[in-house]
Amino acid sequence: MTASLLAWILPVFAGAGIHAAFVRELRGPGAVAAMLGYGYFIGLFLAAFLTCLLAGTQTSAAFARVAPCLAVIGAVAWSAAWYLRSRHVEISAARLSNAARVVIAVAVALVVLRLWTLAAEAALRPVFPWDAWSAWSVKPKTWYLLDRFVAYVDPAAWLAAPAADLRTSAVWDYPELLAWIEVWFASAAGAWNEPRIHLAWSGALAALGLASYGQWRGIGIGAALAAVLAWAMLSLPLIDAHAALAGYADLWMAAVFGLAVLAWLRWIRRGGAGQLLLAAGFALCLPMIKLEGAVWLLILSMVGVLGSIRANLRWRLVLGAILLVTIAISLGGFVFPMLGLGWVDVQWGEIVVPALGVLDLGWRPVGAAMLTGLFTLPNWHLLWYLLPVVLVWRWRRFAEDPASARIGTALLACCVFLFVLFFFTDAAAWAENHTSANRLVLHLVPAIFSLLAVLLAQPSSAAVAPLRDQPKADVDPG
Amino acid sequence: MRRTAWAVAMLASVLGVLAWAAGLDPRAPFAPAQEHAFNGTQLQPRMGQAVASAEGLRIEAVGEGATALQSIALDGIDAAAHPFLRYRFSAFPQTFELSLIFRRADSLDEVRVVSLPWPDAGDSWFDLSVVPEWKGRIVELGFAQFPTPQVVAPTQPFEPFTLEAVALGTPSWKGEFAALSTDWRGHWPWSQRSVHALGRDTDTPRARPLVVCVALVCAFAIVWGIVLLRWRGPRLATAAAIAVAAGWLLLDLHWQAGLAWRGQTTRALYAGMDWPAQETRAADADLLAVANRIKPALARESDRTRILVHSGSSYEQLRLVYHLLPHNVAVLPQVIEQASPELPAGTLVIVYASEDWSFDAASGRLRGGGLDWPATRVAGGGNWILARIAEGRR
Repeated sequence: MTASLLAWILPVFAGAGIHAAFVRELRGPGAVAAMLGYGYFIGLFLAAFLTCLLAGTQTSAAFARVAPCLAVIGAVAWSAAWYLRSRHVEISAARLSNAARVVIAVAVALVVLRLWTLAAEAALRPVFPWDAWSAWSVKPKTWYLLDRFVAYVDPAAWLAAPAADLRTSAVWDYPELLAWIEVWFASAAGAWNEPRIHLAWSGALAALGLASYGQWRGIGIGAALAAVLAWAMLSLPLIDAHAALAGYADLWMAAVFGLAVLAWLRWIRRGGAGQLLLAAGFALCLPMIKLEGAVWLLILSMVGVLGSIRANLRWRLVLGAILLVTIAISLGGFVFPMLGLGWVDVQWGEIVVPALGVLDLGWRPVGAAMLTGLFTLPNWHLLWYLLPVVLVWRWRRFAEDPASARIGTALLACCVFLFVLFFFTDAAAWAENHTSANRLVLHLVPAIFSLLAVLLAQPSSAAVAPLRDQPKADVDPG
Repeated sequence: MRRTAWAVAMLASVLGVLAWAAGLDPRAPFAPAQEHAFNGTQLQPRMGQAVASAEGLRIEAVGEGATALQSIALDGIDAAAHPFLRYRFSAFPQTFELSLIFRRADSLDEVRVVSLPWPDAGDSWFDLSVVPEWKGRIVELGFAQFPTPQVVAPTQPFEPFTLEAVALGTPSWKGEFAALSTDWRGHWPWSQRSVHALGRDTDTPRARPLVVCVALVCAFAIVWGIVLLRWRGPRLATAAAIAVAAGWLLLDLHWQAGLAWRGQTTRALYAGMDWPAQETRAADADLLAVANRIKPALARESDRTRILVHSGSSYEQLRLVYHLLPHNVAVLPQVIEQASPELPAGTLVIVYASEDWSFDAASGRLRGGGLDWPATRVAGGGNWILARIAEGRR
């Protein structure tokens, strides 16, 4: 039991220390929440990396081998964070109104009740959803119970070498970051104890809420609005279902994509190399969680790079790229590498992705099914009713605020990708039968909440102007 | 005065939305003009055991397939004229699901099944007019109860419950609003679909969604505010935010109630147990038991020995593979499709619950699905066999 507890505490200790050392901000609105939220993911990804590195030959010893390393890394990181801490943070003495206090208290109470309910479900239940046991838990269960790492290969390679120490499955090429996190928790539990392992999903949901609240506060959004948005995000039924029925990778994808966008947003708003590094680091983790992560990484990278160059050059580059792609396709197609997906072959009417197969491009009428999933099934509360209203109401913010513009562009590109995927490829079946479509939409939802946060917040020069341009950092007291 | 107008407009809007959601027929009377009502004791147990009690028909045991079924013969009730089903159970187990079954005079051999909302305390209502098969003359009506598929193992201990009453009624406002209330309040269990889309299965008849109605009411509140209360600027923003937050909160409390209900089911199944015991209570406890019977035979094998699993369903195949880990196990059809049907000698094949597969001991051949390998039997049980592929022609 102590080991299981330490398996939670040590990654957060190390991860929060690393976060603090990166962002150099130990105080200020939302600083502790952001530190804990980001720290959870940083720490667990570090634990997974160390488990792979140090315990591949004896997975049952993962906790014994990795825990001391995490303790040392945490101690060093916290020392660095203390030494490097910014001394320029000013905290306004302005007080919250009574109404804001009530709103915050209700939001916090609702979030705590929800997390408790979900964790109580996850803490009792053997792994339940289909892909959780048929895909995501196959490798970690094998590695843990076999007490060593074995490589997974495609069925042909597996069958062709009957004496080799190899395994196969239908999803042999899925990324392995989550698998190592499962091995880490199994090792701490001392058994392949599914409820104990999958409680990590409830932790991910809580950490997502904390990190989002903290970063929203950090960019100057008021405490009441940040708390209400955090509650609204964590209240979404489909996100909750992924914590209660843990085992899929989509909650982690959503959280990591959302946290990458948040750090990027904060860097745009207030500068700081640490935030940019966090954004890059989290974005690079996306393909290590799920294959689609490569697409999100590509989109974030492209929008990030384009956003950092002058507007006239940016448009020339975009038009030039469109022209080049058009010419290349008309000449027979082209190939380009995508991290995690292999060499993608683009031709007229067809895209070949090695990890996914051939995608035949052609219109599929799945609009009704998509609208049902977004608007009538109890998946998303009022999110998709609210979003277009806010976009129309606050559309001027896109012109005034570079952060809103860039996040909006990135999310628009992601939505265009999903539109092409569901309406022009065989993935339309996922929308038709209400399977993967909502899960892919889920990946974008935390980032969409960040967009809502910057659009809904009262515009203020402090929030919009980068920190580096201001002689004194001005933090909205909220 | 303007506030009163807004309140009246809102009341009318809410009632209008509810009427639309319920599919209200303005010509229908308030209460059913005609109702065929039956006490639970008038239904006969067809599967499982039941006895008459003061409250109704007490179901005391399930029958084949862990299912209980009770029905009553009817004198050809006109389905179209009697679309409203009213049913009342007491102590209905959370681990069970409920279906309506009926036969029509035009197709006596065909039993039709409709999934019903889980029966809470008191009367539950269901509008059968949305069921395409509900037409013609109904000559038999009944209920089937069974452990929630995918969630509850059929071996889960049975808890008795009572079927108190059932009725078929003509359209009425009461029936339409009550059916809407049952649909919206009705709990649904977790399923494999729950990580993709929530709610009762999309192919199950249902009322108009609560979320759409809440969105409509929020929109009406804002529109009437703009028109009647002249909300503009910051006041409009504040009022709209409050309306959306209230709607969101309402939906969330509804979701929280459902989560709490599902949590009770989970606790009923798994609470107070340590991990190995929890695993044996899962819905596929039978497959786990089969895997545990196969494992001793595999224990003698090298952990590099290739093992392939075949079964009649992909669920059983994949679950057996999962339960047999960390053995070097994979799904036979996948490997054959993606690699080759030429299996190396020494490969083990597990065939589970596949009627078209057989092992011929006399000729030493494993056959099934158009495939045929030379093999030797290693172990076997009632509905499974473990065979080793031998040298020789396929």
